[in-house]
Amino acid sequence: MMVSVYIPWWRAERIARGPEPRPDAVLIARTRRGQREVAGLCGAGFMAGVRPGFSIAHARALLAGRRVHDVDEDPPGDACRLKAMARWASGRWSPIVGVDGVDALLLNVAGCEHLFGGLEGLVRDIERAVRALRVTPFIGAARTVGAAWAVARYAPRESRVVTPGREREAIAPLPVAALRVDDEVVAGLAEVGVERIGPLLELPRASLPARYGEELLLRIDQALGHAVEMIDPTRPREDLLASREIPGGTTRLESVEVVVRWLLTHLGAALARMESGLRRLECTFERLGGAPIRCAIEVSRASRDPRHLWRLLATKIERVHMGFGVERVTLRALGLARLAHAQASFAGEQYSTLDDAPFDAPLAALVDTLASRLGRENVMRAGLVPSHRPERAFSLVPADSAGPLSGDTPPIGERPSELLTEPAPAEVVALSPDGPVMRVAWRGGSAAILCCVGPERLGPEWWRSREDTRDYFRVQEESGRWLWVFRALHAGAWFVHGRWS
Amino acid sequence: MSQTQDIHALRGLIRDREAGASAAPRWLSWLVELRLGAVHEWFESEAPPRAALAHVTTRAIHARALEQVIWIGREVFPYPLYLDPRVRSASLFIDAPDPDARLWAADLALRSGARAGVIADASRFTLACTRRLQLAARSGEGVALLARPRAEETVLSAATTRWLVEPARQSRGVGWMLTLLRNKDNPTLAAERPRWVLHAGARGDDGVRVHPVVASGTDRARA
Repeated sequence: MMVSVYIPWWRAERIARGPEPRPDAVLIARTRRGQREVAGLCGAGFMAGVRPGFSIAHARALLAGRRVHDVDEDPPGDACRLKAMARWASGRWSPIVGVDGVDALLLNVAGCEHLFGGLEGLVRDIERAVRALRVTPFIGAARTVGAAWAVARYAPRESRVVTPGREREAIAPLPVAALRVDDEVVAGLAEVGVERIGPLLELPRASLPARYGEELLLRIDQALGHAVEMIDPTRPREDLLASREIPGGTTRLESVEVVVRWLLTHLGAALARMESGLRRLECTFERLGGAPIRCAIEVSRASRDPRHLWRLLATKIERVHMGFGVERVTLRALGLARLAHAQASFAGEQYSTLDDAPFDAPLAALVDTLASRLGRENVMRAGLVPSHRPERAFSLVPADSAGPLSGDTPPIGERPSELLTEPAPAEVVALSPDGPVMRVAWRGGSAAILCCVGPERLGPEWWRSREDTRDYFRVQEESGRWLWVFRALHAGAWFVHGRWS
Repeated sequence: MSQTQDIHALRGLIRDREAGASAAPRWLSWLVELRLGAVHEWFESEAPPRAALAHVTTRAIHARALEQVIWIGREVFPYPLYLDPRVRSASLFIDAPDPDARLWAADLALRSGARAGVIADASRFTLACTRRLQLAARSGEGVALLARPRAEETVLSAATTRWLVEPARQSRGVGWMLTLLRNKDNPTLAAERPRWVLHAGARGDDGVRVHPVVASGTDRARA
């Protein structure tokens, strides 16, 4: 039996779940022949009459009065997400799950129905689980892929599960487009008054290919089960598992640690045979009478060094609640990446055990350990951003992320060593609006200015026209301290933006 | 330079030669008392002395004495555009939320063997904390530069040297006055409270010029 899970609005629904304020309708846009048109939409847009292919302006007009959010489509990202959904489905209902276009999944559930109380129960379970992802599914089930595809999209809800052998009756009242044929074929058949599959099946079979192509017959045969159609299943993620049972369970941390270290050594050896390393390691503790507990670590570069991985994992394991005892420990290596071949031994010296494994580069180990305790986002590198606005000219990115870090900077001394998070309002006495600055008062203090260098004019980026142009001055207070102050030209207000501390 | 300072500088050079190159590297020839494998504290009254610490590490990076700079605690994070490009690319920024986490991160970085200059926000660090870091620094190949508020000058500490950083009033460009408050390796010199002026924006490899201040208060280039 085949199940088609059609989720036409999932891309828009995913975006609609974003942060507040949430839009009333979401449109996925693509650019074709210089015009932005609708590539995907949500249920609200569909109800308002919007269809794929409409121009964005047309769609917005149909949705007038609502808060509409249109975003550019992301085909590679969406493909990855749909594939991830297929992997998720393959772990729940059937091992054979394929991706069907950009908005559907196909499941071969033959032999799996009885686990859910029959086909109806299986379809109900799929619908419930997919709805829990906050997307709207339309599910059809039939003996053939073609019939399942057709009823999922075109049949009323009560007739979307087709009894084996009744495919002909099930698809007969559906429009010709339900056979997955080109629009030209649909239009050609409509010209001669054939708009439903039932009348089409009554036509002499031999006369169809000459007028409408070979594909029409193939699609009819596939829908009725006269031609074979296979699902191209999504390959399961290449995970590597190491698992060990603890008979009777244990609540002793030391025993669990011994098991984890043993598993790490074996996992490292398996990775070495594959000449690979892992980027993420998940550890699952199955407990007696309790839900399993999972903890995970990530490393900044692929590693298979058991000692390094143990260092990161040890702090997590200490916090695991053993409950009535841990009876199985499973390690799952994720994000496998190829590593350069390393010599396994030399003159009898083995590197494959936990105690003798060669250590990774010190810095990578340091970054991993810091990120493990403080969080990945709190271990950062500084990157430069091509912007002349001081607050946007840099970014702090996680240390293990790749990205451009270099760029041109002004000579040392022209930028302060401390940039305030927000420019601090200041009262400034200046001889003229363009300087020189004579006195600066901020944060409750006031100081005469000994020296003033500037102005250095920094305008906003042209696409941020609402921002003000700024004239920056370097000024030295009586105490000798240097400040970086600016005047917002249009507002006429002064701010302190940094200091040389 | 006064005669006493000359004598101490020569003693320092002799001691360095005897102890080997790593004890007092050439990159710190302008601050002979600042050595690797130790903890050094830097006091400032208004804000952490980011610039002075950045210049110290810049010189160390250029001289290949250090390979990494690790900034621990958001309070000491410098504006990245202020940093020398080589220092910026060798820098890690660790946002540790409290003194315990900062201490742990600094200890770990010093012991990591990454040849790192660890610049940490050391406000509210106790004597035990500085002892721990001193041991960590001794065991590794790095150096700990701790930024502390001036109000903590009276707090007991195991640091090898202590420095006071103030804005240099007489300098024409951006500059700081560095005063040596303590030196466990050379207490006699520290008792005289020698001072140096550090000018940023000078032409050169690392954009910094440093010269000592003699007792009369006038500046004189040292090298």
